Amino acid sequence: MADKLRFAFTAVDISFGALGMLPYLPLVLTSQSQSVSVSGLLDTGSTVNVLPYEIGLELGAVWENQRISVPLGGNLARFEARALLLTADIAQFPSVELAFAWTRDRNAPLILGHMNFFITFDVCFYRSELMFEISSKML
Amino acid sequence: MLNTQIAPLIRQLSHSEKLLLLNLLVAELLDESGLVPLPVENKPVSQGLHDSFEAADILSKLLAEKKELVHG
Repeated sequence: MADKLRFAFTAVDISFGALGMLPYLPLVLTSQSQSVSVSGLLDTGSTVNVLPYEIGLELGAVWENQRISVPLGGNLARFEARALLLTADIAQFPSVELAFAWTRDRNAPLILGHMNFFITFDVCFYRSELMFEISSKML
Repeated sequence: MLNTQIAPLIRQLSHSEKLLLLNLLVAELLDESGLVPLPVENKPVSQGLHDSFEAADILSKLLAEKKELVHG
């Protein structure tokens, strides 16, 4: 099993060329028996992982059943967020458990932040090459 | 229903009780909308996801509790 994997940056807005490209990581999130393929923005400026409301619903999560409130700052402070634990599968890496702040904001991006994506994976950014490399700390 | 039943009852409430009722209704509406009240205390407010440390701490504790449950 590879201990490091490289991914290309994703074009978000092609009209801006390389400036419009950001590090999105493809992953599969699973809650109980339901899985969803998503892309998460690697955001070293975020203290937490953030899950948009709709994706939580697609995974079968029930808002009322998530009792732990998570206070977010900035634009997301206007919306309530609750803690949600999910299983994440990233390429050939072993499955990991990621903790998300599941926000009621339907327009929020899926963010992978320090707690606990960057705690679980080491990431090197090669911005000039529009690539990033991740390695699991579990291997 | 509002005019015939509730309104007369509301008029009987004291000024303080009306304020508390108003507070209850605002809290209900915020909850239904999934919104959190604006902070009124003088404590520092998190400016963004970059300093949502309390949120990170809550998620960290939840993961630790889950690990404890699974692995003992």
